[in-house]
Amino acid sequence: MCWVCEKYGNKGEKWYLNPENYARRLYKVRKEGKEAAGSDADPQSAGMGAGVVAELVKARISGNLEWEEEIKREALEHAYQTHFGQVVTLDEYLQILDIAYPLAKMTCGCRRVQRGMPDDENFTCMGIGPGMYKWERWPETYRGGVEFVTPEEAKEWALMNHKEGRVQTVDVFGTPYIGGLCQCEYPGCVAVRNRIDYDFKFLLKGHTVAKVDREKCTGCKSCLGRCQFKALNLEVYTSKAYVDMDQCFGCGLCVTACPTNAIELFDRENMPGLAENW
Amino acid sequence: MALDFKVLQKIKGNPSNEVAPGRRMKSNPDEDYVYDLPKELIASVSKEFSIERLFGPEGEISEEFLANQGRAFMGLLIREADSEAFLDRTGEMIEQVAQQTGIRFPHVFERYVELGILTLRPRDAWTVTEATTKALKVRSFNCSLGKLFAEKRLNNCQVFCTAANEVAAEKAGIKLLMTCSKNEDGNGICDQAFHLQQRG
Repeated sequence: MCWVCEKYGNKGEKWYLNPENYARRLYKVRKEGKEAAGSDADPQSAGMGAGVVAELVKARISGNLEWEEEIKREALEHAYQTHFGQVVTLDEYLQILDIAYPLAKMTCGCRRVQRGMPDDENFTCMGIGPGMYKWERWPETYRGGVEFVTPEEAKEWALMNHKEGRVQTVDVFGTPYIGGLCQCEYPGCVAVRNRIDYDFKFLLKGHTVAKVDREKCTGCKSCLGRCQFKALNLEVYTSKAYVDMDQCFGCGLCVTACPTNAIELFDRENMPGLAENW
Repeated sequence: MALDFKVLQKIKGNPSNEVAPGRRMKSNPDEDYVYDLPKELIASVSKEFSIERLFGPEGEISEEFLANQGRAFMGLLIREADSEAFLDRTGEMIEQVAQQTGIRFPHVFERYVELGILTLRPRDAWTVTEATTKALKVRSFNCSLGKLFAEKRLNNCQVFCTAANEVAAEKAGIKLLMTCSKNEDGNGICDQAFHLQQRG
């Protein structure tokens, strides 16, 4: 179990499969005067560590490792109380779509900024939970609009995204409340990029790791382009796929790309060397 | 894994396309909406209904009386909360989403439950512990209604809440199985659970 499961899971279950972490009140008594929209729930302002990357780069260039570690430590301390994410498998993602409501397709802020994608071609994020009824409070974040969907429609949409090779994650907005489901890719995704490029753990690894059955692998390379975490390679001598399990985030994108079912997901916690590697 | 390679190959479609024509909502930055419950709604409901009216001089309260009071309270609340004066943007959006998706539980119903708690006992601590399309669970940590009943050595406050919630379910157009488990110590801890029986 990861530390989030230990704290917010229900009787040993994974924390993101606990319906309590998706529930929140719809109402409170209105305060006097004009109320702030609440930046904690705004995906754009939350940013998955984007705000401290400039300082981190400075520290890295200076070669001062201690400074870099201090920036990370302080930022993560805050992030784990407010806004972070974790990779989930497609199976888990589909289960989540039955315990979170409402579900609203929205544009991905990361891909808009990083890749300059027009809003109409960028509906790959999902806002979830009661906060979405108040989406108009953040017109800039939701400038592409929103599209509320049923769980069944959301599942079809999730499958399309999985097919297109996007990593599926849960995102916290005020721990442990899960208010977003991301589907993104490197380098567009701020969370994935910050983890891969700066080892910034705003994005936690998933509960599984992938392993290749060398007998079944034909070396077709279908899986290689799917990995967003640089964990998949082709072994030079055997021409078979190889997963660097230490680097694997357990998203399962490689599993469904394999025409011979040569890749399987295994529980991270059953592997002593990886059990604490989040 | 839910899917293997062959199944995934059959998945078609562009995730950025609209699910159905007209479904996508666009924001209107010129509109200045309000979202939470106005204090004026509390005042308006309190003027016609207060907790004190549940208790007569005799001591014991019949279940029939309590149920009638519960129904009267929720009827009043719905009338006021949905009126032009008090309907807020959250309420409008909940209804709009329900019409688009056909899903009225939990939030069309939950809205009335929450507004009921906030208008009748605005200082209480409570939370929503589950809100899926199948189940809704609300936990009160210090229900002032329950505590008042306990002070008067009464133990049937749930009849009032259940009757009120039945009116809310009827208004939302859904059928629910309702349970209420409160702490017998009278310390105000109470769990209400609602399970969808029939989709409205």
